[in-house]
Amino acid sequence: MKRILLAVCFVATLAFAGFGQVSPQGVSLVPVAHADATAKVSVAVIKASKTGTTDDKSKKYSSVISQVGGYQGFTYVTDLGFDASLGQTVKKKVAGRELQVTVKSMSSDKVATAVTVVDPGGKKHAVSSSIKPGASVVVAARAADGETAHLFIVTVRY
Amino acid sequence: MNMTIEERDQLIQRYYDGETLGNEKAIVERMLEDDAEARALLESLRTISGALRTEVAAAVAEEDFSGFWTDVSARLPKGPLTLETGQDSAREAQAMADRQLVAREPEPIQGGGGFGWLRNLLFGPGLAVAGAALCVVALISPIWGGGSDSALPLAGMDQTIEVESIDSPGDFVMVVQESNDVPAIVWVTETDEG
Repeated sequence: MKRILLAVCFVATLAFAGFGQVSPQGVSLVPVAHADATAKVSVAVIKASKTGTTDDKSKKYSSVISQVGGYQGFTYVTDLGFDASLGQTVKKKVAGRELQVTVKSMSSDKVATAVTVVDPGGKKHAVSSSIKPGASVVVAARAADGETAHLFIVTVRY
Repeated sequence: MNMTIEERDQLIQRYYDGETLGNEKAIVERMLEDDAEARALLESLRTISGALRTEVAAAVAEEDFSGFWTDVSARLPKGPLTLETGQDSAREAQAMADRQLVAREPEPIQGGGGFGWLRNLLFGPGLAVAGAALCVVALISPIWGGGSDSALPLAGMDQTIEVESIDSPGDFVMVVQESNDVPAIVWVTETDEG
């Protein structure tokens, strides 16, 4: 009985550590991309402004805001998480804009995504890129007057 | 007969102990008649021996041996002595002796304080409980992954990006990435509303 429990624990630990995948379809110890794969998309939105201070939640994203020049205050707006099937475009209303995320392809070492921000004027700003699974791509939508900018930090895992 | 004082003393000592050989006894007796020092030495040996004998006798008289046989008898096997009864008796005697020991090797406290709980967890039935708990945590954690911290860029991760295309109607586009350890930032410029 102990051996069975230990085996289950071993598989679960591997899955938790990212070396495998546990899904309703079964257990896979080798990350593979399936045609019907679903990616987990996490988005954090931070508003940058010329004045003000940086709140505590925004400070967690220091690796991002440290690269943003010309802005002094950073305010955490919101975050959201959703599943995105391969090829499906998921649209979310956030911070007065529409965010569209499409996971175009996935493999063990690369995720291709299209991130589109539809600004309040209805114009689309689309970025297509490839990153490693678990890495992040940031789309910074700068307002026309330059006073503020919205940072959309998109992370894709599967 | 010429002998040193040391040889004389040793000879008298053997005489007192009754260990003389050959004609040594006759030599000592002649010496005792002629030599006052020899007589004094023999007398001192007898005095010391008598004093020791008195002290031992007094100590024995003070000791109570009345329960000695009772104690021994209790340890003896009942009935005819066989190999089995002898071994049983020896074990019982050892157990009784162990119980009577004032001090013994320290024994671990069973299920008590200290780290007894850890030993029970690692080696007892607690292992199954711990394993089941680990499974639950490992399986549920990905569900919790939807929390706010899941959007945090992973520290130390390779954040290399391959930008395939940027399609923006704005007049300003820029890609910033200070190193491969931090996420790339793609800047776009929004248009005026309306």
